[in-house]
Amino acid sequence: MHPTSGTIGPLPVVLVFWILTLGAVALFARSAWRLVRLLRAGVAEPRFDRPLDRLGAVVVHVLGHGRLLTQPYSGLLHLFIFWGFLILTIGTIEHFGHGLFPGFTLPLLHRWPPYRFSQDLFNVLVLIAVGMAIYQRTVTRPARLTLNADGFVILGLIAALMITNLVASGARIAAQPEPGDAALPISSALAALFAGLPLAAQEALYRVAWWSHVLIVLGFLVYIPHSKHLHIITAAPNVYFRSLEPKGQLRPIDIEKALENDLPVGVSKIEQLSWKDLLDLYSCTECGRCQAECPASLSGKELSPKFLILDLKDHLLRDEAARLLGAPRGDTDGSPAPPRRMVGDVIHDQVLWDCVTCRACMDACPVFIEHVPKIVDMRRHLVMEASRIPLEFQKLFDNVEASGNPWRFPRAARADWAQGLGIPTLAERPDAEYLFWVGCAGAYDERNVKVSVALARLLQRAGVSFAILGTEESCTGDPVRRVGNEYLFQLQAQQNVETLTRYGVKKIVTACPHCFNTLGTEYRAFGGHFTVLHHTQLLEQLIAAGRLRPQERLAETLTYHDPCYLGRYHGLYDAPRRVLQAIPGVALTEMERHRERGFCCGAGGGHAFCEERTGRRINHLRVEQALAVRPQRVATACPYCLMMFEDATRAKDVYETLPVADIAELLDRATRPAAEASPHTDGARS
Amino acid sequence: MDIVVCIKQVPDPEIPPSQFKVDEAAKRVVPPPGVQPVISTFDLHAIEAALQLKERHGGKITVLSLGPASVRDALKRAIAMGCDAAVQLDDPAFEGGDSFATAVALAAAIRKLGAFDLVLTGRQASDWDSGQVPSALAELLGIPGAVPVQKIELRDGTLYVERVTEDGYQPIEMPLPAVLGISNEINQPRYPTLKGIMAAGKAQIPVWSAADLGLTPDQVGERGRRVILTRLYVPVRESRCEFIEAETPQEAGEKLALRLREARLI
Amino acid sequence: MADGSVLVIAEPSEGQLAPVTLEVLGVGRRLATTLGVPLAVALLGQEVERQAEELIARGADRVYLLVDPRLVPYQADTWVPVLADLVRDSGATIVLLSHTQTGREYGTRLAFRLGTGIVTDCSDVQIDTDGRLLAIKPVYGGNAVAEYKLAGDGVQVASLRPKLFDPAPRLAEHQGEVVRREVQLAPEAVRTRAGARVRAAVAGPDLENAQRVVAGGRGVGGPENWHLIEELAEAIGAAVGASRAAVDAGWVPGPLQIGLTGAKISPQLYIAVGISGAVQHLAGCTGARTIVAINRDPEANIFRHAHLGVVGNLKEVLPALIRKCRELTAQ
Repeated sequence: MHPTSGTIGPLPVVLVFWILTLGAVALFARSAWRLVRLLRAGVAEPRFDRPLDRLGAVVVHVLGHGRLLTQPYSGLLHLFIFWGFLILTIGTIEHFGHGLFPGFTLPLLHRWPPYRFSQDLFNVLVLIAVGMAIYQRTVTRPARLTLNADGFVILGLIAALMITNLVASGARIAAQPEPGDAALPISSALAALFAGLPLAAQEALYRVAWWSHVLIVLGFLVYIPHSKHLHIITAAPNVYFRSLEPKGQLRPIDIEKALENDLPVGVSKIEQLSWKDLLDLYSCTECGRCQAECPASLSGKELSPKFLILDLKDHLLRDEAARLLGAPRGDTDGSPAPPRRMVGDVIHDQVLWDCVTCRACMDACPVFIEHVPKIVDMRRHLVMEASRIPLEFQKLFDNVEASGNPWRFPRAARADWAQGLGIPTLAERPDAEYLFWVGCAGAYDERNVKVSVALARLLQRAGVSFAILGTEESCTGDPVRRVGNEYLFQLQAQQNVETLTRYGVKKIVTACPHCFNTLGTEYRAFGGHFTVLHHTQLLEQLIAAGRLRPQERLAETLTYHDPCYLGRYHGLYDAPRRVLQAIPGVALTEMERHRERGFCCGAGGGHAFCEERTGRRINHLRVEQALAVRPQRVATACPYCLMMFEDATRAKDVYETLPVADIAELLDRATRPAAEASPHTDGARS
Repeated sequence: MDIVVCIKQVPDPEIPPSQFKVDEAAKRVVPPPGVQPVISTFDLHAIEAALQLKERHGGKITVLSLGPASVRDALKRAIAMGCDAAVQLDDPAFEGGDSFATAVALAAAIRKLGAFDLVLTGRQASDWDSGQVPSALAELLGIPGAVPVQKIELRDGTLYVERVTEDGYQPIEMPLPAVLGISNEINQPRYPTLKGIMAAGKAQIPVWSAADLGLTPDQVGERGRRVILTRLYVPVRESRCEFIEAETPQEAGEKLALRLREARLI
Repeated sequence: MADGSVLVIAEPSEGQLAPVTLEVLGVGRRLATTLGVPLAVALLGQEVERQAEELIARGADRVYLLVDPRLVPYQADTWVPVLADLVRDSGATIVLLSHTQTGREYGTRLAFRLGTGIVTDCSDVQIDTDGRLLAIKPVYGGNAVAEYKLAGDGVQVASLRPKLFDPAPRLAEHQGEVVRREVQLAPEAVRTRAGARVRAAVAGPDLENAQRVVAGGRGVGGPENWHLIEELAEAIGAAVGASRAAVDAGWVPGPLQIGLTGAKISPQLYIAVGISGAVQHLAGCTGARTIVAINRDPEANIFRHAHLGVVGNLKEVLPALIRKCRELTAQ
């Protein structure tokens, strides 16, 4: 009854089995080694620090399916399959051991009833999961999934594995029952089905099922490196090697060094990505959760974060693998293909420009793939190497370089908004506790000047010691960095860090999450170490300390829009909400996409300064999402969100019915002593 | 194809009108503090046109500019965009020149550079808006030319250009060498690449004086002018909005028309 | 001084007299009268004889007729030497032409060919107390005004900004003579070969170079009202533009958008209709010399940047404005 007993012709079956097994393992190893060599073609990147933190994420997100379970149906079915795979692997080891070494039994576990039960249980759970998956792929068909052959083939193979396992187990029980079989209820039930068959048939059934199982396993082994199922092997390492840098930190480049050594400053060839980037490409399972959260995809743009990754993967494995492994082009498949530019042909320029850098994709990805840094690196190539830049961004660069703001307003006018408000400059009051970093929008944009004024009044009312830089303030460089002009960004950063350091600035408060991110996180690489607070954080502190007392009622239902660079980037969801709720009469209602799932207003990635030319406008979509929860007003905490919301409400003719205001404006009104109230300077319309 | 591009550095034309100031005694514009001068807009298009021709036909591009030390930034920007070499023309004798006097210096420099196929420059500069340099160069160098030009093609050694007209264009062909005054319809000037910016930083830009060009002071600068500036001023304009008062909207419309006619705007 | 003459060069135009020629003629007539010298016109081309009569009726004392197929189509290499000869032979002391796309080329080349200078794109010309020409022109995009005189005592050439001057009126009983001149042209002087002018597909002045622009914004309300913008533009010879709102709403195509991410315009006259005046829009039109705003909202930001304003419903203001403009420009 032993499945590898006997001979086939002159050869002992066990020998054949050895040959098959070793053969499959060899094929797998060769494919795997090829993939490893391709990884090593990538640029070096240090990801070997903080092993405990890294392991922690693996435990939570791989073993615990942290992100996958946010979608309960898919998450559950995958949980079954994943844990089934782990548990059943032990059985597979037993299975193979039994075939390779007659008389092999699994030490310790072999007779342990819970172990035996686990095999039966997970065989069934996995089958159920496969059924759930097939249902999802044929009936529910969520838009994020690519319903291709690969998926069905894999599901079919998994089902076949489970079925052959159960049939073999059942046949074995029927032919050769053992005392411990009570721990195998399903197999035993099957055995009952086979009871009527003659023994020879049962043994034959066992053998067939057993061999089918091992052949499928070996086949799977050989197939894995060539399918999206590669993620079985790469997912855990991919999560382990995830980025531990602060989210708002883009990859810094030492430009001088790059130019001296003729190194690229952007990514235009696949091997200019790091090994971790390439591992990302291996780990994508085409689940599409990134795409389902991406504002560009959802508004009909060409960009799909999923296809970005898959296209890069294809480019690596099909177009460039031969070259990177040293073989002349066209060697491996025999069909010489014309060289395709990675940036331009494989990934269209527009796909890269579509991104708003909101990071919804990265936060949704169950295996922690990093889409945004790749996009920005390719943008860096377009901007600094290829000079293929949309005209609006060229103007953005020229304006920031010439006048220190994106609209080319004069530098000398940067403090005009503060005239008559009694706000000292840092030159006038160098010992001020806080620097109020106003930002370009807060200084020059008519609508956002009202927010700066409101915030200044709040700080004065609370007796905070603060000053502004006035005309010495210059654009932080955030938009130019996001668009890919790292050179100009570094010029701005160096200039600003020099100014701030000269004044000995320690604490900064700003109303702009982009400035907040750049000043607090990105300037560290340039020697700028400041404690930066978003204004809602400081306002919350002031309210808690009783220095601001919101007394004027605002009987409105508000919905708060989470800015990407405050919420997803820095996890600051609560302070703004607490400030709003401190205003008497305010009721907060949440949009469906809020907090971690907040939907970008559409201004990120430089998009505040250019037009969307295809699909629907992202800000229009967001206003529709706001309208769906029927608030009386939208509260924002970012100058760009404010501008985008008002643009959209005007376009959709709801400007009057859905007013938008910054939290500072609302708090200003709520804390203002009655004598001060003046309708003309009130930014938050009633 | 060897091309010479003549560029001019001007005060930033995008300064808001309210910031624009003139020193009437010196007959000079006073740029607002902290605002850097830029390459005149049409000259940027000329540089781009040269770069595109070089990409198609090979050759070398030399950029020339007449002015003080600050024009070196303009020349560097041109190199950063991809031009091969630059020369600055600087001499106290060049100061105070009009378009013609400047063109005299430019023409002498072009001759000094040696053989060339094409001279490109913007159709007019964003400061004085006179638009005379392209034509002056054609006359001084004794070669054919056209201005304003929106398209350039080289076919078998003959230049085919489209000269802009009010309602379209006029096709003209001419032999090389020639001078063309470039208009903005022709292209979108490129942004410099990082390598370009670095190359520009290291570029050696020689300075030529009037003597280097074999010119005497009465040929150039203030003394070489053919047109004398007698007065420069900012016209007094009301900064407040003048609201048209009327009983009915229709009356307001009519009054507005009359007001526009009175101001010679229609 | 009674020596010399004012010579006006007619804009190249086969068949019909070009309107800009009449504008320059009017100015020439004024200068000639002030100086007490004859006013002559140079008419070059092939089908140009019929224009001579009109020119005389409107003030030309003499019309030089230079009829030759080689002068058509216009090209600098044929016109400049022929005009240079004419100027020398006719003893003209002042030469005027229109600063059209063509005039700016041949006028400048002519001045240098004659060894003199030119003031281009003038908004006014006068005779100064010393009897010399004083030319006035906008500079720095219109931010400043410069006044010029020509150096030396040679011929004084000036080109005049089109559409700024009134066309010369018909004078009762004005007489003049027509002088035919043979066109002498050395073949080796003509190095270029010009083709006939090609009309571009898009009619109407190009937005970025237009001297007058009318733009509509959200206040226009809907595509059914957009004709008001187009009619106003046509009435005053302006290009049509739009704020982003109108483009977003699909009333007009993208290239008409004026603003930070659209066209930058610097016309002499900009009429913003139903446009609120957001900073991004203003970034595209701060170069305009005179901004007129028509808006229903007296608090609209555009009024802080406009020179002339009408607060009112554009559907009521525009028809009357259009009617009056048509009336005034027809005169």
